[in-house]
Amino acid sequence: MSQETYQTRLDRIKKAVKREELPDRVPALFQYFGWIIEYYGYSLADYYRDDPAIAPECYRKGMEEFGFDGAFNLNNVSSYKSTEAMGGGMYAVTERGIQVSNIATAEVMSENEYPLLTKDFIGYLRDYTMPRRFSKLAGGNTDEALQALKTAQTEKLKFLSVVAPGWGQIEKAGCPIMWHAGVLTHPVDFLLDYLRDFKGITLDLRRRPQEVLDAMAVIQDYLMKNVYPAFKADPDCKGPFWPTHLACFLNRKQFEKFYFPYFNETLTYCIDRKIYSGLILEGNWEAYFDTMQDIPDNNYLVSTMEFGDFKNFKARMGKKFTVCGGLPVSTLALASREDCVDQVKKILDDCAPGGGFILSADKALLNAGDAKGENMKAVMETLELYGKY
Amino acid sequence: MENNEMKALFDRFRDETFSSLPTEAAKDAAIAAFIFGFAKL
Repeated sequence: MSQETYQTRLDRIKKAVKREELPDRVPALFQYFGWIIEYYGYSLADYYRDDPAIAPECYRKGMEEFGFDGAFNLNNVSSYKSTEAMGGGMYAVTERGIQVSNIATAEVMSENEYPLLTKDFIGYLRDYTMPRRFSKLAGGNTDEALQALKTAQTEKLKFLSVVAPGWGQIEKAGCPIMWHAGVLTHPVDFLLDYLRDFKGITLDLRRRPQEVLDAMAVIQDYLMKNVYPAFKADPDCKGPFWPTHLACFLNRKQFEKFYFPYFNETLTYCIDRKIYSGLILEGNWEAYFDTMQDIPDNNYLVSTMEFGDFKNFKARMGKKFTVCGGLPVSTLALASREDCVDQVKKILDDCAPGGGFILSADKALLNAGDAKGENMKAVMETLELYGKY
Repeated sequence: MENNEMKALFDRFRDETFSSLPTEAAKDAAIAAFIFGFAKL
Protein backbone atom coordinates (compact mmCIF):
# COMPACT_ATOMS: atom_id res chain seq x y z
CA MET A 1 0.00 0.00 0.00
CA SER A 2 1.62 3.24 -1.07
CA GLN A 3 2.28 6.25 1.09
CA GLU A 4 0.20 8.21 -1.42
CA THR A 5 -2.78 6.00 -0.72
CA TYR A 6 -2.31 6.56 3.02
CA GLN A 7 -2.08 10.29 2.39
CA THR A 8 -5.16 10.29 0.16
CA ARG A 9 -7.15 8.60 2.90
CA LEU A 10 -5.79 10.88 5.59
CA ASP A 11 -6.59 13.97 3.52
CA ARG A 12 -10.15 12.73 3.06
CA ILE A 13 -10.54 12.27 6.81
CA LYS A 14 -8.95 15.64 7.59
CA LYS A 15 -11.36 17.47 5.30
CA ALA A 16 -14.32 15.77 6.96
CA VAL A 17 -12.98 16.68 10.41
CA LYS A 18 -12.03 20.28 9.67
CA ARG A 19 -15.28 21.02 7.78
CA GLU A 20 -13.61 23.80 5.80
CA GLU A 21 -13.89 22.10 2.41
CA LEU A 22 -15.59 18.97 1.16
CA PRO A 23 -13.59 15.75 0.78
CA ASP A 24 -13.87 13.79 -2.48
CA ARG A 25 -16.25 11.44 -0.67
CA VAL A 26 -17.50 10.62 2.80
CA PRO A 27 -14.74 8.76 4.64
CA ALA A 28 -15.32 5.51 6.54
CA LEU A 29 -13.61 4.89 9.86
CA PHE A 30 -14.37 2.00 12.15
CA GLN A 31 -13.30 0.81 15.57
CA TYR A 32 -12.59 -2.70 14.39
CA PHE A 33 -9.49 -3.96 16.19
CA GLY A 34 -11.04 -7.17 17.51
CA TRP A 35 -13.12 -7.74 14.38
CA ILE A 36 -10.27 -7.52 11.92
CA ILE A 37 -8.04 -9.87 13.92
CA GLU A 38 -10.74 -12.53 14.19
CA TYR A 39 -11.91 -12.02 10.60
CA TYR A 40 -8.48 -13.12 9.41
CA GLY A 41 -8.52 -16.22 11.57
CA TYR A 42 -6.60 -15.18 14.67
CA SER A 43 -7.79 -14.84 18.22
CA LEU A 44 -7.21 -11.81 20.38
CA ALA A 45 -5.45 -14.09 22.81
CA ASP A 46 -2.91 -14.79 20.05
CA TYR A 47 -2.28 -11.06 19.81
CA TYR A 48 -2.04 -10.27 23.49
CA ARG A 49 -0.15 -13.35 24.60
CA ASP A 50 2.16 -14.19 21.79
CA ASP A 51 2.29 -12.19 18.64
CA PRO A 52 1.54 -8.45 18.43
CA ALA A 53 2.73 -8.55 14.80
CA ILE A 54 -0.64 -10.09 13.93
CA ALA A 55 -2.29 -6.68 14.07
CA PRO A 56 -0.36 -4.92 11.28
CA GLU A 57 -0.83 -7.96 9.04
CA CYS A 58 -4.59 -7.97 9.62
CA TYR A 59 -4.96 -4.22 9.09
CA ARG A 60 -2.97 -4.43 5.84
CA LYS A 61 -5.24 -7.19 4.58
CA GLY A 62 -8.32 -5.28 5.73
CA MET A 63 -7.35 -2.10 3.93
CA GLU A 64 -6.81 -4.09 0.72
CA GLU A 65 -9.96 -6.20 0.98
CA PHE A 66 -12.43 -3.58 2.20
CA GLY A 67 -10.89 -0.19 1.40
CA PHE A 68 -11.55 1.41 4.76
CA ASP A 69 -10.17 4.92 5.13
CA GLY A 70 -8.62 4.26 8.51
CA ALA A 71 -9.27 3.33 12.12
CA PHE A 72 -11.16 5.55 14.56
CA ASN A 73 -8.82 4.16 17.21
CA LEU A 74 -7.40 0.87 18.38
CA ASN A 75 -9.06 -0.66 21.38
CA ASN A 76 -8.37 -2.92 24.33
CA VAL A 77 -4.64 -2.32 24.38
CA SER A 78 -3.24 -3.20 27.75
CA SER A 79 -0.31 -5.05 29.30
CA TYR A 80 -2.13 -7.87 31.05
CA LYS A 81 1.19 -9.42 32.14
CA SER A 82 1.78 -6.35 34.32
CA THR A 83 -1.42 -6.79 36.25
CA GLU A 84 -0.87 -10.53 36.40
CA ALA A 85 2.53 -9.87 38.00
CA MET A 86 0.79 -7.99 40.80
CA GLY A 87 -1.75 -10.74 41.28
CA GLY A 88 -4.93 -9.24 39.98
CA GLY A 89 -6.51 -6.40 38.11
CA MET A 90 -9.89 -6.00 36.51
CA TYR A 91 -9.13 -7.66 33.21
CA ALA A 92 -8.22 -11.08 31.90
CA VAL A 93 -7.19 -12.23 28.46
CA THR A 94 -9.45 -14.85 26.93
CA GLU A 95 -9.90 -16.10 23.40
CA ARG A 96 -12.38 -13.22 22.97
CA GLY A 97 -9.87 -10.55 23.94
CA ILE A 98 -9.45 -8.55 27.12
CA GLN A 99 -12.50 -9.11 29.27
CA VAL A 100 -13.54 -7.80 32.65
CA SER A 101 -12.42 -10.71 34.78
CA ASN A 102 -14.44 -10.07 37.88
CA ILE A 103 -16.87 -7.19 38.00
CA ALA A 104 -16.62 -7.08 41.80
CA THR A 105 -13.02 -5.93 41.54
CA ALA A 106 -14.20 -2.70 39.95
CA GLU A 107 -15.53 -1.70 43.37
CA VAL A 108 -12.41 -1.19 45.43
CA MET A 109 -13.55 1.95 47.21
CA SER A 110 -16.16 2.05 49.94
CA GLU A 111 -18.74 4.80 50.09
CA ASN A 112 -17.31 6.36 53.24
CA GLU A 113 -13.86 6.89 51.72
CA TYR A 114 -14.60 9.94 49.58
CA PRO A 115 -12.91 12.31 52.07
CA LEU A 116 -9.73 10.23 51.90
CA LEU A 117 -9.69 10.40 48.11
CA THR A 118 -10.37 14.12 48.12
CA LYS A 119 -7.62 14.82 50.65
CA ASP A 120 -4.90 13.01 48.66
CA PHE A 121 -6.00 11.41 45.37
CA ILE A 122 -2.83 9.53 44.42
CA GLY A 123 -2.07 8.68 48.04
CA TYR A 124 -5.55 7.22 48.39
CA LEU A 125 -5.15 5.06 45.29
CA ARG A 126 -1.75 3.90 46.55
CA ASP A 127 -2.78 3.12 50.11
CA TYR A 128 -6.30 1.77 49.63
CA THR A 129 -7.25 0.65 46.15
CA MET A 130 -3.93 -0.78 44.92
CA PRO A 131 -3.69 -3.46 47.64
CA ARG A 132 -7.37 -4.29 47.21
CA ARG A 133 -7.05 -4.77 43.46
CA PHE A 134 -3.67 -6.49 43.37
CA SER A 135 -3.29 -9.37 45.79
CA LYS A 136 0.52 -9.39 45.81
CA LEU A 137 0.49 -5.86 47.24
CA ALA A 138 -1.94 -6.71 50.02
CA GLY A 139 0.79 -7.75 52.44
CA GLY A 140 2.26 -4.27 52.50
CA ASN A 141 5.96 -3.43 52.37
CA THR A 142 7.36 -6.88 51.59
CA ASP A 143 10.10 -8.00 49.22
CA GLU A 144 7.49 -9.98 47.28
CA ALA A 145 5.36 -6.87 46.80
CA LEU A 146 8.38 -4.83 45.70
CA GLN A 147 9.31 -7.50 43.18
CA ALA A 148 5.72 -7.56 41.91
CA LEU A 149 5.85 -3.80 41.26
CA LYS A 150 9.20 -4.09 39.49
CA THR A 151 7.95 -6.93 37.30
CA ALA A 152 4.79 -4.98 36.48
CA GLN A 153 6.90 -2.02 35.35
CA THR A 154 9.24 -4.24 33.32
CA GLU A 155 6.33 -5.99 31.60
CA LYS A 156 4.67 -2.67 30.86
CA LEU A 157 7.80 -1.34 29.15
CA LYS A 158 8.27 -4.63 27.31
CA PHE A 159 4.68 -4.54 26.07
CA LEU A 160 4.98 -0.96 24.89
CA SER A 161 8.28 -1.69 23.15
CA VAL A 162 6.54 -4.33 21.03
CA VAL A 163 3.05 -2.93 20.64
CA ALA A 164 3.82 0.72 19.96
CA PRO A 165 5.98 -0.06 16.89
CA GLY A 166 3.11 -2.27 15.74
CA TRP A 167 0.86 0.78 15.67
CA GLY A 168 3.34 2.44 13.31
CA GLN A 169 3.28 -0.66 11.13
CA ILE A 170 -0.51 -0.46 10.91
CA GLU A 171 -0.14 3.08 9.59
CA LYS A 172 2.54 1.96 7.15
CA ALA A 173 0.05 -0.65 5.93
CA GLY A 174 -2.05 2.32 4.74
CA CYS A 175 -4.36 2.77 7.70
CA PRO A 176 -4.43 6.15 9.48
CA ILE A 177 -5.14 5.63 13.18
CA MET A 178 -6.93 8.80 14.18
CA TRP A 179 -7.78 9.10 17.88
CA HIS A 180 -5.39 6.87 19.69
CA ALA A 181 -3.01 9.34 21.34
CA GLY A 182 -4.36 8.75 24.83
CA VAL A 183 -7.63 8.89 26.68
CA LEU A 184 -9.77 11.76 27.93
CA THR A 185 -11.70 10.78 31.04
CA HIS A 186 -14.64 12.30 32.83
CA PRO A 187 -13.90 12.22 36.58
CA VAL A 188 -17.26 10.65 37.41
CA ASP A 189 -16.52 7.94 34.85
CA PHE A 190 -13.21 7.35 36.67
CA LEU A 191 -15.20 6.79 39.85
CA LEU A 192 -17.61 4.50 38.02
CA ASP A 193 -15.12 2.47 36.04
CA TYR A 194 -12.30 2.00 38.51
CA LEU A 195 -13.45 2.70 42.06
CA ARG A 196 -17.17 2.46 42.82
CA ASP A 197 -18.71 0.46 39.96
CA PHE A 198 -22.15 1.26 38.54
CA LYS A 199 -24.30 0.48 41.54
CA GLY A 200 -22.00 2.36 43.89
CA ILE A 201 -21.72 5.56 41.91
CA THR A 202 -25.41 5.78 41.10
CA LEU A 203 -26.25 5.48 44.80
CA ASP A 204 -23.53 8.01 45.69
CA LEU A 205 -25.00 10.62 43.33
CA ARG A 206 -28.17 10.53 45.43
CA ARG A 207 -26.84 9.90 48.92
CA ARG A 208 -23.60 11.93 48.99
CA PRO A 209 -23.65 14.28 46.00
CA GLN A 210 -21.29 16.86 47.50
CA GLU A 211 -18.66 14.23 48.30
CA VAL A 212 -18.87 13.01 44.70
CA LEU A 213 -18.48 16.57 43.41
CA ASP A 214 -15.48 17.15 45.71
CA ALA A 215 -13.84 13.93 44.52
CA MET A 216 -14.54 14.80 40.89
CA ALA A 217 -12.79 18.14 41.40
CA VAL A 218 -9.52 16.56 42.56
CA ILE A 219 -9.62 13.90 39.82
CA GLN A 220 -10.23 16.54 37.16
CA ASP A 221 -7.39 18.62 38.61
CA TYR A 222 -5.03 15.64 38.33
CA LEU A 223 -6.11 14.96 34.75
CA MET A 224 -5.75 18.58 33.67
CA LYS A 225 -2.31 19.00 35.25
CA ASN A 226 -0.75 15.60 34.69
CA VAL A 227 -2.45 13.76 31.82
CA TYR A 228 -3.86 16.20 29.29
CA PRO A 229 -0.71 18.32 28.83
CA ALA A 230 0.74 15.35 26.91
CA PHE A 231 -1.85 15.88 24.16
CA LYS A 232 -0.70 18.23 21.43
CA ALA A 233 -2.17 19.92 18.38
CA ASP A 234 -1.61 17.61 15.41
CA PRO A 235 -1.87 18.89 11.83
CA ASP A 236 -3.06 15.42 10.82
CA CYS A 237 -6.14 15.83 13.05
CA LYS A 238 -5.10 12.91 15.27
CA GLY A 239 -5.44 13.03 19.03
CA PRO A 240 -6.95 11.43 22.10
CA PHE A 241 -10.07 9.30 22.42
CA TRP A 242 -12.93 9.85 24.88
CA PRO A 243 -15.28 6.99 25.78
CA THR A 244 -18.14 8.35 27.90
CA HIS A 245 -19.87 5.97 30.28
CA LEU A 246 -22.20 7.29 32.97
CA ALA A 247 -23.83 10.16 31.10
CA CYS A 248 -26.49 8.14 29.31
CA PHE A 249 -27.78 6.80 32.64
CA LEU A 250 -28.37 10.26 34.13
CA ASN A 251 -31.49 12.34 33.99
CA ARG A 252 -31.08 15.79 32.54
CA LYS A 253 -30.77 17.49 35.91
CA GLN A 254 -28.05 15.04 36.98
CA PHE A 255 -26.30 15.49 33.62
CA GLU A 256 -26.20 19.24 34.11
CA LYS A 257 -24.92 18.92 37.67
CA PHE A 258 -22.51 16.00 37.52
CA TYR A 259 -21.49 15.51 33.91
CA PHE A 260 -21.71 18.52 31.65
CA PRO A 261 -19.45 20.95 33.57
CA TYR A 262 -16.28 18.83 33.39
CA PHE A 263 -17.30 17.43 30.00
CA ASN A 264 -17.45 20.97 28.62
CA GLU A 265 -14.33 22.08 30.49
CA THR A 266 -12.30 19.26 28.98
CA LEU A 267 -13.66 19.80 25.48
CA THR A 268 -12.97 23.52 25.76
CA TYR A 269 -9.42 22.72 26.91
CA CYS A 270 -8.96 20.65 23.74
CA ILE A 271 -10.57 23.22 21.46
CA ASP A 272 -8.49 26.07 22.87
CA ARG A 273 -5.29 24.07 22.22
CA LYS A 274 -6.37 22.75 18.81
CA ILE A 275 -6.28 19.18 20.13
CA TYR A 276 -8.36 16.97 17.84
CA SER A 277 -10.36 14.42 19.81
CA GLY A 278 -12.58 11.46 19.01
CA LEU A 279 -15.58 11.01 21.31
CA ILE A 280 -17.82 8.03 21.86
CA LEU A 281 -21.16 9.19 23.25
CA GLU A 282 -22.36 5.92 24.75
CA GLY A 283 -26.13 5.52 24.75
CA ASN A 284 -28.48 8.18 23.40
CA TRP A 285 -27.55 11.80 24.22
CA GLU A 286 -30.40 13.52 22.37
CA ALA A 287 -31.98 14.61 25.67
CA TYR A 288 -28.80 16.61 26.40
CA PHE A 289 -28.51 18.42 23.06
CA ASP A 290 -30.00 21.63 24.47
CA THR A 291 -27.47 21.70 27.31
CA MET A 292 -24.66 20.83 24.93
CA GLN A 293 -25.22 23.96 22.89
CA ASP A 294 -22.85 25.60 25.41
CA ILE A 295 -19.94 23.64 23.90
CA PRO A 296 -18.04 26.15 21.75
CA ASP A 297 -18.49 25.81 18.00
CA ASN A 298 -15.27 24.26 16.73
CA ASN A 299 -13.53 22.18 14.08
CA TYR A 300 -11.58 19.86 16.37
CA LEU A 301 -14.04 17.32 17.75
CA VAL A 302 -15.40 14.17 16.15
CA SER A 303 -18.13 12.18 17.83
CA THR A 304 -20.06 8.99 17.47
CA MET A 305 -23.31 8.29 19.31
CA GLU A 306 -24.51 4.76 20.01
CA PHE A 307 -28.24 5.27 19.64
CA GLY A 308 -30.59 7.95 18.38
CA ASP A 309 -31.51 9.84 15.25
CA PHE A 310 -28.34 10.69 13.36
CA LYS A 311 -30.05 13.24 11.17
CA ASN A 312 -31.05 15.06 14.35
CA PHE A 313 -27.55 14.51 15.80
CA LYS A 314 -25.93 16.27 12.85
CA ALA A 315 -28.59 18.99 12.64
CA ARG A 316 -28.31 19.87 16.34
CA MET A 317 -24.63 19.15 17.04
CA GLY A 318 -22.98 19.57 13.65
CA LYS A 319 -21.20 22.79 14.66
CA LYS A 320 -19.80 21.11 17.77
CA PHE A 321 -18.75 17.76 16.30
CA THR A 322 -17.98 16.10 13.02
CA VAL A 323 -20.64 13.43 13.25
CA CYS A 324 -19.36 9.88 12.92
CA GLY A 325 -21.40 6.67 12.77
CA GLY A 326 -24.82 5.76 11.46
CA LEU A 327 -24.46 2.03 10.90
CA PRO A 328 -25.94 -0.15 13.64
CA VAL A 329 -23.71 -3.07 14.54
CA SER A 330 -26.84 -5.21 14.54
CA THR A 331 -27.33 -4.41 10.84
CA LEU A 332 -23.72 -5.26 10.01
CA ALA A 333 -23.95 -8.48 11.98
CA LEU A 334 -27.40 -9.78 11.17
CA ALA A 335 -29.02 -8.00 8.24
CA SER A 336 -28.81 -8.85 4.57
CA ARG A 337 -26.44 -7.25 2.12
CA GLU A 338 -29.41 -5.40 0.60
CA ASP A 339 -30.40 -4.01 4.00
CA CYS A 340 -26.86 -2.74 4.49
CA VAL A 341 -26.92 -0.99 1.11
CA ASP A 342 -30.23 0.66 2.02
CA GLN A 343 -28.88 1.73 5.42
CA VAL A 344 -25.79 3.32 3.87
CA LYS A 345 -27.91 5.19 1.31
CA LYS A 346 -30.21 6.46 4.05
CA ILE A 347 -27.44 7.67 6.33
CA LEU A 348 -25.71 9.37 3.41
CA ASP A 349 -28.96 11.13 2.51
CA ASP A 350 -29.38 12.20 6.13
CA CYS A 351 -25.85 13.24 7.06
CA ALA A 352 -23.52 13.63 4.06
CA PRO A 353 -24.81 16.93 2.62
CA GLY A 354 -22.48 19.79 3.49
CA GLY A 355 -19.67 17.57 4.79
CA GLY A 356 -18.77 17.06 8.42
CA PHE A 357 -19.77 13.40 8.35
CA ILE A 358 -17.79 10.18 8.68
CA LEU A 359 -19.42 6.81 8.13
CA SER A 360 -18.89 4.31 10.92
CA ALA A 361 -20.60 1.70 13.03
CA ASP A 362 -22.52 2.91 16.06
CA LYS A 363 -20.32 0.81 18.35
CA ALA A 364 -16.91 -0.82 18.28
CA LEU A 365 -16.66 -4.08 16.34
CA LEU A 366 -15.15 -6.24 19.05
CA ASN A 367 -15.36 -9.70 17.53
CA ALA A 368 -15.89 -11.41 14.18
CA GLY A 369 -19.57 -11.87 14.94
CA ASP A 370 -20.12 -8.10 15.03
CA ALA A 371 -20.14 -7.78 11.22
CA LYS A 372 -20.40 -10.11 8.26
CA GLY A 373 -17.55 -9.64 5.80
CA GLU A 374 -19.98 -9.48 2.88
CA ASN A 375 -21.92 -6.74 4.66
CA MET A 376 -18.80 -4.67 5.23
CA LYS A 377 -17.97 -5.03 1.54
CA ALA A 378 -21.49 -3.92 0.64
CA VAL A 379 -21.10 -0.88 2.89
CA MET A 380 -17.84 0.19 1.33
CA GLU A 381 -19.03 -0.46 -2.24
CA THR A 382 -22.17 1.57 -1.61
CA LEU A 383 -20.13 4.36 -0.04
CA GLU A 384 -17.89 4.44 -3.10
CA LEU A 385 -20.93 4.73 -5.38
CA TYR A 386 -23.11 7.12 -3.42
CA GLY A 387 -20.75 8.85 -1.00
CA LYS A 388 -18.97 11.10 -3.48
CA TYR A 389 -19.34 14.86 -3.26
CA MET B 1 -1.94 -3.37 57.51
CA GLU B 2 -1.16 0.25 58.23
CA ASN B 3 -1.56 2.64 55.34
CA ASN B 4 2.00 3.81 55.71
CA GLU B 5 3.03 0.28 54.71
CA MET B 6 1.98 1.06 51.15
CA LYS B 7 3.77 4.43 51.21
CA ALA B 8 6.94 2.70 52.37
CA LEU B 9 6.58 0.06 49.67
CA PHE B 10 6.12 2.62 46.92
CA ASP B 11 8.96 4.75 48.27
CA ARG B 12 11.29 1.73 47.90
CA PHE B 13 9.92 1.08 44.41
CA ARG B 14 10.39 4.74 43.54
CA ASP B 15 13.97 4.85 44.74
CA GLU B 16 14.99 1.59 43.09
CA THR B 17 13.13 1.92 39.78
CA PHE B 18 13.15 5.62 39.00
CA SER B 19 16.55 6.49 40.46
CA SER B 20 17.85 7.63 37.09
CA LEU B 21 15.35 10.47 36.87
CA PRO B 22 17.05 13.82 37.44
CA THR B 23 14.89 15.39 40.15
CA GLU B 24 12.75 14.37 43.10
CA ALA B 25 9.78 16.00 41.40
CA ALA B 26 10.32 13.84 38.32
CA LYS B 27 10.49 10.71 40.47
CA ASP B 28 7.30 11.70 42.28
CA ALA B 29 5.52 12.35 38.98
CA ALA B 30 6.67 8.98 37.62
CA ILE B 31 5.41 7.08 40.63
CA ALA B 32 2.11 9.00 40.57
CA ALA B 33 1.70 8.13 36.90
CA PHE B 34 2.40 4.48 37.69
CA ILE B 35 -0.24 4.46 40.43
CA PHE B 36 -2.78 6.36 38.32
CA GLY B 37 -2.18 4.07 35.33
CA PHE B 38 -2.56 0.83 37.23
CA ALA B 39 -5.55 2.13 39.17
CA LYS B 40 -7.35 1.79 35.82
CA LEU B 41 -6.35 -1.84 35.31
